[in-house]
Amino acid sequence: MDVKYITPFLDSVKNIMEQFGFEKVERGSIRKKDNMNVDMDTISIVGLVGDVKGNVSYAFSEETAKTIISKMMMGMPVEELDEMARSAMSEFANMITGTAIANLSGIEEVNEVTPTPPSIIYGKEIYMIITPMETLAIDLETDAGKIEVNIGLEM
Amino acid sequence: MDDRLRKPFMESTKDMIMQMASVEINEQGEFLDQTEDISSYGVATLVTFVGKVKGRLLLDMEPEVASEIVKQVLGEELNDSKDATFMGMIAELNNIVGGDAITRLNNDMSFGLRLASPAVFTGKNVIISIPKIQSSTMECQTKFGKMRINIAFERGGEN
Repeated sequence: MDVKYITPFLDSVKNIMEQFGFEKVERGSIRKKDNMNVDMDTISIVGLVGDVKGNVSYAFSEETAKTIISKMMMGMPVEELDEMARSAMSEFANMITGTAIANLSGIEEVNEVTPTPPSIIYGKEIYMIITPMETLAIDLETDAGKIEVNIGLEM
Repeated sequence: MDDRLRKPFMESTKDMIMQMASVEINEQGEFLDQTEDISSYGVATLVTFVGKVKGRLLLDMEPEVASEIVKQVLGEELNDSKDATFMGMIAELNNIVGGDAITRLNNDMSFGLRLASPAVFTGKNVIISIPKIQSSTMECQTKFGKMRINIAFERGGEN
């Protein structure tokens, strides 16, 4: 997987987080995901169809999810991940992916990419596979906590 | 949800799993609107699709059902649902089922649907939600345990 397909997603997380008023979004290492374990309890996953095909997931701890959602809702306290909160999480995934797709269209080979509806998965000790091919995992350190971005594209 | 949208998924799931793994799936009742989040039976696989409409197919099964399918298809017994080969096999199963179903839908209704990659999840107390989108579930029984088929269409499948 070429790094040019990765950067748009990371830039997009930074961009959207900054719009919500978070200041720190630092990129950690990019690694190939050999282990299917996700060390987080909340995952938003969005599919991509078109010249770029695959899934992208954004994983965070419950606390991080609550902090982000609260900011999205103008500082309203979020006690639990109820329907409203999950809807906000799916919107968060939509916003990041939408912005990333706009960035991806700058790549010459990419003419059309369409996102699919996000799903939210939560639980403990989650293992997942999001693509038949290799998945890259990138940790982003933010002032809301760690966000693990998993990018699994069939290319 | 229109029966023409969910029927192809039900048929493909039954046909493909029978063909590949000789596991018979018996529907328990009718399709019901899924009003709450889905609490997974153990192994859940989802594949999303886009065309004139957008949606998702979720197959959720007890680990024993998944193990049997893996055993039949790969010819080897893998009982750890966290194993990469095990999970990869179940994801691929959903890719095949989803591919077959959207081909049926595209032929009948010209939706021009395309699949994204399949994903598979396992873990403790896993809950799956598809916010703001209508979905419909058929509970099923196999000789090896329970399985459910959940089909979601944005705006109920209207263009």
